Amino acid sequence: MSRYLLWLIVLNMIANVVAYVPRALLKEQNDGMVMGLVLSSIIGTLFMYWFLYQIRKFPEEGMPDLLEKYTQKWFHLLYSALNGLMFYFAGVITLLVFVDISERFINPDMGPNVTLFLFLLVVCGGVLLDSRSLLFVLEIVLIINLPLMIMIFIKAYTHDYFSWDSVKAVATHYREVPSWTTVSAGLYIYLGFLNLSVFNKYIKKLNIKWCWVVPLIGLVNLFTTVFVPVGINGTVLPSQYTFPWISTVDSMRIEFGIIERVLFIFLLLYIGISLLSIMIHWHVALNWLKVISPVLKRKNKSYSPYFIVAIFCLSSYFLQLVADEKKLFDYTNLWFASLIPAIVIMNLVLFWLIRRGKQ
Amino acid sequence: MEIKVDSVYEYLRSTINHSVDASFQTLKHPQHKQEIRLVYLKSLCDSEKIQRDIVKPFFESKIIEDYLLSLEGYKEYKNQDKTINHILRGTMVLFIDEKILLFDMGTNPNTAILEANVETTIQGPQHALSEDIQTNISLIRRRYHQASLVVESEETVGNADKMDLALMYDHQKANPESVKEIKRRIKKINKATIQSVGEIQRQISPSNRTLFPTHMVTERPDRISYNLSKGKIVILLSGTPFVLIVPAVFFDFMRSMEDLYQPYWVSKFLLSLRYSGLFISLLLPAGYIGVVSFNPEIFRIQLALSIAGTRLAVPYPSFVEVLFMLIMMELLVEASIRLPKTIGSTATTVGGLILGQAAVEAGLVSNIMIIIVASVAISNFVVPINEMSFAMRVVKYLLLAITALTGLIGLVVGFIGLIIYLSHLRSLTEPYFRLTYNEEPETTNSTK
Repeated sequence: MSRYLLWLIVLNMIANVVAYVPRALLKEQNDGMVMGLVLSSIIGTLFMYWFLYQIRKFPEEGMPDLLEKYTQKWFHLLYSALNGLMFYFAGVITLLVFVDISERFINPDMGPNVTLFLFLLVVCGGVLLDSRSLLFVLEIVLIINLPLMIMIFIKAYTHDYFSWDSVKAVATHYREVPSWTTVSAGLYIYLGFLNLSVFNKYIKKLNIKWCWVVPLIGLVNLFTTVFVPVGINGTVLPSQYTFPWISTVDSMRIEFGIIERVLFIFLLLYIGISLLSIMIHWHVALNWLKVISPVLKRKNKSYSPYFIVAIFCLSSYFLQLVADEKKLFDYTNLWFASLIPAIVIMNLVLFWLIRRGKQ
Repeated sequence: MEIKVDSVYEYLRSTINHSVDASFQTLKHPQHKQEIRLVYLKSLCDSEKIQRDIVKPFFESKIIEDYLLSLEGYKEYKNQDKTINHILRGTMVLFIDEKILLFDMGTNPNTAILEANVETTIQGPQHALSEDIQTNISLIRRRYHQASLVVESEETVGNADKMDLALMYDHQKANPESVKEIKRRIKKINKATIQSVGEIQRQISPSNRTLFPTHMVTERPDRISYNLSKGKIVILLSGTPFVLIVPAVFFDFMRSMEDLYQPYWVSKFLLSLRYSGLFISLLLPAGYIGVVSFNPEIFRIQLALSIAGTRLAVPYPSFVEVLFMLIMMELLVEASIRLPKTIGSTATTVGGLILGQAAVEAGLVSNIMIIIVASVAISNFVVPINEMSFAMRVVKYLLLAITALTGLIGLVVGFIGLIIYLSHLRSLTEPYFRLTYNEEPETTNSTK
């Protein structure tokens, strides 16, 4: 079952190639991005090992239940609510970004509301699945999508116009100190393991021997995320694009296939990947928030998950109305910035739980 | 005790005497005044066997009772209702002195072993099951030689027709929880008539309205024995040459038994062929609509133009065209299943060749559409288990509808939705849709 952990991590990595991570990183392309990548990889790996070593002490238990068992009620409720919100935002950012992308690049006539409705329909279905089935969905969608995705990445690197000189030019800024947001944005791609706070309930024996591959994949992934746009579009343009990767992929073509523009394959794949990422994040959020939702029971069946998911949907619709693209990017940066404290706190809470558990 | 025997006799008389095939015989021995009475249904029993095993010895020997007790097919008397049940299944009731003895005298004219027609293989075993439950049990036992193979006969199912039902499983491999669960669900079946295992499958599923088969219906003894060795449970029903295998996972439905008999790479190739067939039949019609009506820029320019060129004469949007041709194709398939075999080929020729050609010439559909419909029709039947390929036939239209409304985004979303729906299904209590079968902690069966 440990391979599901790998899937969760990989999902988080590739899902963020398109949304706001490259934009946030490339904005600081000439000041501190390079060191930011390295720093975030180191921090990410350390956090991951810290977290995994601790969660391993509680086989087949999720953090929400552990908190309920070992901590006082006020802390338990407060902390669950905060965590739930963090995960909810992780999902809703991806959702809104993809509504935006679909409207711009795939189906301009449909209007954002219809797209949002369509996405929410399938996301709700996925969120309400039981955790184990969701892991099965995750595995199957990734297995269908990954080969094509890797093919696109390889195609990007072997592109005729890929200029390694631009990459080198950007890399010369390696000595500049990154900002907090850059490190956080880079760190975000490593955070797939945090989903384990809920999914650990279904993992009997966590094997973390293979985890040394995670920083490697992460580095390659981060490198691809920022340097492929730089390599293909030059040093100036990528920092100005809203979606650097989409513009990059749109400059690639398959000469001998029936589909000429790589962009469409890429986008269609990414709709699937992003929906999956939203489902996973919201599912985790749902499990954190269950404790603070009102108890709605009828005939022995609890309706509070439905209630929470309905609130998720309504609030994302509301956010979609108020947040234009710029605001959304600002919120996202705020959210990125709060990541490091959130993880530190989560790890400390786990540490405390272990001590309480021993007593 | 005397009273009891007579009352039972009277009871039987009043219950079945109104049929012409009911037989009440009294045999009197001329010398030592012994008298036996026989009750049976002539249509179900082997009268020659009765003559040979009961009537003749009765007149020839002196101590008949001990002889009778040693006969093959002897059953003890339990109560009136069970006796009636037995009589209705070909048992003869024998009244001797103050005792009631039951003998199985049944013959089943329908024990012929059928050829495997539904799931054919080229070089695998060629015969399927028969329509007789005893024959089937014996066929399975002859393929699975393990002392741990258990045959359990359950209560009859169907309130009106009371069909016999049996469970078979390897008790060292099958999950005892699953066995218990399946027994519990079989007890709950409440339906007037049960004629096929398909009905049992629907009755034991928690929801009556499922689209996908979550238990496998098969006719192949080799598949049954393979599944028994994997720890699955087999449900046999009398009167049908198909059995039900529980639990199943989605990927079982994509495998033919032939895969085990072919060389490794050949079977991998066949498997990948089947999956591409599945994807083609699911995604191609919907993808055509998505590309033609929403994003023609996806294709390279030459292809996009040639598709547009063939659609020049077609006066309506692509989904009407697709729907029109697909429904024609479905009618054709349905007609050729129901028609007698001799007429079937005519229908396919007329429908497939002439109608398709004429539709193109009349400008109702494009040439490319014909190619798509043909490939969908063919690839749909690549799925080896019939129930699954029928389910996929339906799913295709759902994807078609959502794509016609929302374009290629809808296609992707619909496809993910399909995966979610499949993952939500359970076969018995096991997850239905997942990549690997044996896995801790919810190990299905292979090790107990």
